Amino acid sequence: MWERTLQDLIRGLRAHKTSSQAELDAFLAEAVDEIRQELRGRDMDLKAEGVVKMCYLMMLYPLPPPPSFAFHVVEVMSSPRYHLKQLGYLAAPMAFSTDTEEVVLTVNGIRKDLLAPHAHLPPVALAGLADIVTPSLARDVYADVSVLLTHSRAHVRKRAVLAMFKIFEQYPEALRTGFTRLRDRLEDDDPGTQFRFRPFYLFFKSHFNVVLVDPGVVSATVNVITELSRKSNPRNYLPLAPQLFELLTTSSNNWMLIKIIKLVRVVYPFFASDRDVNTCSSCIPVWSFNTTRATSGPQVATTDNQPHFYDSRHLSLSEAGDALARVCVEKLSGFLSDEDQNLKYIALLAMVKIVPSHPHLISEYQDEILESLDDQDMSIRMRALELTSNMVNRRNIREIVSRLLKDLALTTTTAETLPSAADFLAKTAASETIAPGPTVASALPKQHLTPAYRVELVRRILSMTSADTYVNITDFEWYMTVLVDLAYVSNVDVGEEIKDRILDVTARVRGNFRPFVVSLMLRLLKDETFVESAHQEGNCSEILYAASWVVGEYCHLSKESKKAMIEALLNPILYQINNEISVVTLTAAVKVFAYFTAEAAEDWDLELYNDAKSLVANLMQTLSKCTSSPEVELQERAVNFLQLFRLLKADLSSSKPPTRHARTQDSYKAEPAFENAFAEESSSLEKQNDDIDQPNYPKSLFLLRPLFTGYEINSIGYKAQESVKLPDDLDLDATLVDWKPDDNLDLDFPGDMDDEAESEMGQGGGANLEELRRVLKESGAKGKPSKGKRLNDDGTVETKEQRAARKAARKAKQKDNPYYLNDEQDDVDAIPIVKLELDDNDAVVPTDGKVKRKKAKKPRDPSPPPPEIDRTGEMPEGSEPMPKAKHTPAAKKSKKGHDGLKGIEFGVDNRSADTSDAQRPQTHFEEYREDEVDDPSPKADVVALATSEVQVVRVKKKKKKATADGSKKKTEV
Amino acid sequence: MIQAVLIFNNHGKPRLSKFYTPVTSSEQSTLLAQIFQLVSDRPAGLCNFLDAPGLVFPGGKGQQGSTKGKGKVNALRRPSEYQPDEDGENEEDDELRVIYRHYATLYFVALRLDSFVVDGGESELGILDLIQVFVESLDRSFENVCELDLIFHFDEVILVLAEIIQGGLVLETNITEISTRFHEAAAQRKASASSVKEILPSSLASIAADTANGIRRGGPPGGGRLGVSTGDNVRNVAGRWLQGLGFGA
Repeated sequence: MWERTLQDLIRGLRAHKTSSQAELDAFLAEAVDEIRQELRGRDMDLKAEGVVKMCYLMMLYPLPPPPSFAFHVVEVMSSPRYHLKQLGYLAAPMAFSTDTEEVVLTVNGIRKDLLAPHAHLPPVALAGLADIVTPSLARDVYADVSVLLTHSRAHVRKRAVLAMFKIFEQYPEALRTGFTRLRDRLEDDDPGTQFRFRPFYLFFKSHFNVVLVDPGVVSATVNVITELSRKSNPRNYLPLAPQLFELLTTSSNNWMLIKIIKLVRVVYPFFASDRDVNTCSSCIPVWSFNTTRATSGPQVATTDNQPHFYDSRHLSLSEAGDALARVCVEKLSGFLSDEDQNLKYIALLAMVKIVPSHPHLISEYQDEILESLDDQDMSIRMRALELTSNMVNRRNIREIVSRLLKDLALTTTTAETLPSAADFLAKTAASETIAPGPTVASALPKQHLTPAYRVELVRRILSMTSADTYVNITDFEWYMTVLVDLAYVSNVDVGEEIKDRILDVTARVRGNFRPFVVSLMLRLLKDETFVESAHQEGNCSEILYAASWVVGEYCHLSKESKKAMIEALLNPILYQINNEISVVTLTAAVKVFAYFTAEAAEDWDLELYNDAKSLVANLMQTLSKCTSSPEVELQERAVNFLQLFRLLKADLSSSKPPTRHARTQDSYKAEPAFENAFAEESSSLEKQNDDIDQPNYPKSLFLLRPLFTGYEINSIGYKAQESVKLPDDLDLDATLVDWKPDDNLDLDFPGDMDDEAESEMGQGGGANLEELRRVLKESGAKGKPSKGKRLNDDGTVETKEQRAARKAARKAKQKDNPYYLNDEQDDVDAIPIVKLELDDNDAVVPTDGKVKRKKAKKPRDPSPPPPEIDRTGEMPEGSEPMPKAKHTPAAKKSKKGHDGLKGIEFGVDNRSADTSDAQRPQTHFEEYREDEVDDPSPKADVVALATSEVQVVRVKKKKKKATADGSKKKTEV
Repeated sequence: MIQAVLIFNNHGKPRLSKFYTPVTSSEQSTLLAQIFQLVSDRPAGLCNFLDAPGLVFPGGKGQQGSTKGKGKVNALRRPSEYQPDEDGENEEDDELRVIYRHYATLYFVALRLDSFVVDGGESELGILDLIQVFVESLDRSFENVCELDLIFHFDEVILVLAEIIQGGLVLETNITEISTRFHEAAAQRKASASSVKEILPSSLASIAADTANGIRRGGPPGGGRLGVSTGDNVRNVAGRWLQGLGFGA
């Protein structure tokens, strides 16, 4: 058979470069078929070639591997020949997935290769192992890999160290026992690489007292420990501090320095406070050492300094850290204006880290940062965006938000919504916003913003404004216009989030704000272009939901004409977008109408009568359309309302129209704001000639309003449900009915059985049930040998009188038992009715608390701050003040799930701290103190501190010593 | 941790894709296409880091974290693999960073996942340097590397990469060391391929011990026990084993 090598295959693929897709597919199918043949064959070389070819194809095209591909890879892996074995290990990660069963077959082969005396095999096996390790494989090879940690060749040690990380990841238990071996590698003397640097080594040692080595093993170990510290409990790595600081001062390997500093950063929060100074002081000389070296070139400079900048936010606790942060920010701001884009990016990235602790330092460079929002590079824009959203405060939020809005607005050039957006912006600019005029749009070059970036931008705006319950917002009317602007200009699907914000803010902020929102929302609903294009993708139709709801809920606060509101809400397009919006809009229309009729009743005249009639007709038309909606919610509401409106309509048409005409229709329309004055005037007029007892309006005008005016809708506190107090007299564990089975009431009633058996089992149900009944009866009869006779306590058979008395007693008892249906008691009226006094236990019913609370709050209201916002939300009465939900990083870490690496802790202190003695996993490892190991570090003070606080578990396969507390152990040592 | 290393040319044709976390091949190719789209759109002179909203690393628990969450939504994030299921809050979401470099006709790309809370183990510039190291090592291994080398020797490219990164962690950054290791392994492969008999590691050890003694005594290398057809090959192969075992030094 003609065989194709990998090279042939590649050549063939390249020959098909210009051919059609079908031809290529045919070629591929042929190739895969050939590979399948080769894999099945006996020739190992061919098989290996087939495996490699398959890997190549899988890398290029999303082809599924042929069946039992993994098995053939295992075969190649277990080949005794080096070059084939290597190909096998190379293919293994592609062939195996996490659920491939064949991995089990590899275990023995890998173990053999790991311990092979042939020095070139272990690296191959280790490299392959790192990619295919699974939990069970990790458990099996763990011991072998840890042997390799002390292999004679540095190269193997290095690989073993890295493979160890993968094993720990899959088999966290190994960390307990394997970590000590791993940390020994920190002191690895890697002779090969040191030798190569011999001349430099001596030079630097003599001149700068710096040991210039490139110890690959140590670097790899640091790398692994850094990764471990990120993924498991950082507390475990505290004892390494002295060693790491020594490495920090002596090593010249940039890679390792970065790693160590990252490690220090992770571990830093766990240092005891008295050690802060120590840490800082040991870091600063290193840092300055690096900065002096940094002058050699910009690339080196950043490589060296960047991690230190990262680090600085943790050093900020002490004064030294403050100074360090200042230097960092100064340096970074220099990078911001650098022409090297990479440096700019890094600077922004680093500033994001510094912002939380030193916002004042960053805000000095606000202009430069805002400038980079205009950068043509998306990555830089993203970082700048992240930074700006982190640095907002009360003072600069307007500037930043309008800046970002401008970005969004400028780029809607292609969309047809632009005219309306620009109009709207111009409109709102007149009222509050510092919105960009359309003139700016032409001045700047068009930027192409991807939808994903727009989403990101909008979300950033939303999150920076609503951070900490709108702590940065001082002017909520401005904020509301921003939200509406966002809906206009975003052009992406963010309506849901904007909707949430609008509803939230409207519910929280009181005072003059709500009427403003209502008029703003009404304007939105009246905007034909917006409403008509709402169903299109990316046009934030959800905002109409918010608009309808707000208009419906707070229409009574607004001075706008209710009739116009209803007409806007009855716009048929609103009912074509989606059902959710239809439901809300319909309800809102009815709500507004309820208020309209109630107001109209006060000065009932012909014009209002006509209005009401036409509105009822309009509403009923919309309602009847909705009654056939497939959406149940909408249908149900529509049907309910429709019935009410029929009533209303009947009442309206039966009442005779009022004769008095106070105003002409024209003047009324011309002055919408006049309505109220008009109302007052006419009511006073009405009072004057109020000679009839009967009101002149139909009573049904007040039919609807009570449906919607139950409670004011407020935002509920975050923990309101939790903090509902348990009433003192409520005992949830108590038994509701004290029912004890006694002699008279046991379930075995032989006497009654005979006469009641028939009725108990029921009747009918077909032949099967009849059969069942028969069997049941028989078995029941068998089970009771003394059928029909009940023995008294003294052993005598009970008499008929006794039985009758017992029966009567049982009946009497059943009568009051709610669990029994009583046939005799048909008189429903005889059932006692317990009157529920709602006012008595308002602590139990939270809604009552709400009413009371409102009253109680009144005295507090008179001096409200300008933005009257309810930040905490409503809480039930009698709840304690909410504790601020503030997590320290340490608390969060320990609270996190105890699975995987996170669950592994070596330290005794923290284990006894956060898990009780009983919960502690039963390990059979003896614990040991740090000072048992001879520590090579010369820094005696650091060591002393470390030993006084931290203990590490060492592996000794012996019985476990009971360790109740740390103090006890200290005395032991 | 580095999640993946990719090489593709100016037309988006992949030359190498190495993933360090299990990702199905269809996901790999869609991700590659996405990255190519984003990277090739960027003109020269921009920074080498790609922050692309909307780019999601496949695998893990899917993308449910990317759309929900009210206050701090980032399209780049995905739920961390180490996050317990029952924990509702996606606080440790990860962020995908693309670090790339463009050489003549090829793009070299490294993917890294950042935890949102703690920044990644590798620094951006560090990985950028690492890409440079990779390219230089390729150059040394292939002697003036060009795209064709990568096309026809994809297995060797993976082996070079294996000397730099193991399981997503950086193994070695010293170019000399990397190319030494690679050439050692290449010689091993050659020796193994050219010998006729199977080379069992166990028998190797005994032969090696024998021949090592022979060399130390100044005698001719090559024990008689190995039935290799040509004597030349014996010397060659045995000598390499000895080097491999560390006896040659």
